[in-house]
Amino acid sequence: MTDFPADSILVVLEATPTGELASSAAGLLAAAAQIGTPVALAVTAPGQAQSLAELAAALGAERVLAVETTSTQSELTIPYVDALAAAAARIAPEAVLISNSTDGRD
Amino acid sequence: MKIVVLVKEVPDTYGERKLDLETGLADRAASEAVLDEISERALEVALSHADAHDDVEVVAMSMAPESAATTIRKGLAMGAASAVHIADPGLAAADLGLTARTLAAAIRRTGFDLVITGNLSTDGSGGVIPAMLAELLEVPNATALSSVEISEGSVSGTRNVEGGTMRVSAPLPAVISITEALPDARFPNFKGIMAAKKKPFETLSAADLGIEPEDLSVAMSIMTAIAEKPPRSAGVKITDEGDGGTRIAEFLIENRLV
Repeated sequence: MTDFPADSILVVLEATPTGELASSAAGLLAAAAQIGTPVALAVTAPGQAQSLAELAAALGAERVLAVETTSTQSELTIPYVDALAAAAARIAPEAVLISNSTDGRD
Repeated sequence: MKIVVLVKEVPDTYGERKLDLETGLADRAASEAVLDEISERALEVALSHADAHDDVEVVAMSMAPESAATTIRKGLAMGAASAVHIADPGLAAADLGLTARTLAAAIRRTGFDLVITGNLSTDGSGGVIPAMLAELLEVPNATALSSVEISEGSVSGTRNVEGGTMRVSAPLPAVISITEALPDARFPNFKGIMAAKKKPFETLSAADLGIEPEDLSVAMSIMTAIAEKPPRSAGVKITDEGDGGTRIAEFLIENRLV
């Protein structure tokens, strides 16, 4: 397993139902880049991880962790929280950045 | 069915709102205190369900200083059957985590089938209490609903998120939060105001709920700095001398508004 930089900042990306990055992604990744190394987490529908990762990389994400799951279409909050908890345990980031949106607050 | 509605006393948004620059606490004397409008809408969701169905009990609950009792009583005047007020000086500077732990303990003590809250308060605008409560109470959450249908055993609704609208539903017991899309609340009438005086009004301390506000084994947020909001500066006036449109466009581009 690859090591993650000690100054990793874990950025939780939000995606729209059509597989685009939410508009908050650019701001979150830019903010993360100012205080450390941006590591992005994307929880997506099956088949969307690669394109989301490329979009996030274009916005400055150094690494992207992606989870492809059908559960985001049937469950609120829990799939994201589970993925975030697992990612935070793996990366041990200095901070976690989340959008102040309806899903982000959950 | 028992519905617990969380209500909050907030400074009136029409007045000036201030924080005490020494303690960082809301300066409650600086503005008129009112029941948050989103709390009233949350209460309306519960009350209109109670109007249309038998055996629905609505409880208004709040964690607030003792002085907020009058505001909470407005919930009784509107039609809630009883109120629970958690008032404890030790909770004065509670962060979101402590607030959620305290409210969850009170909700468990009261018992519930459904908890209804506003999506965001107008003063703190944290918006995370509903999800925290659902986690602590170990029940599903459905937040930011712009329409709500309550039935025997489940709750469902519409949820607006970035890029779409969801239909969600959850089995009861559950926690939901609602948005301003839901209807305005009813006004308390004279009969309601008189009846409110006889309704049960329970006041609890943190100790009654087994909550230790100074428990340092739990992570908490600490305020490190506070400053008064700078006065709003005057806007830019653009006088049209034939180039008004261009100058407005330039202004918007310069300020990254387009």
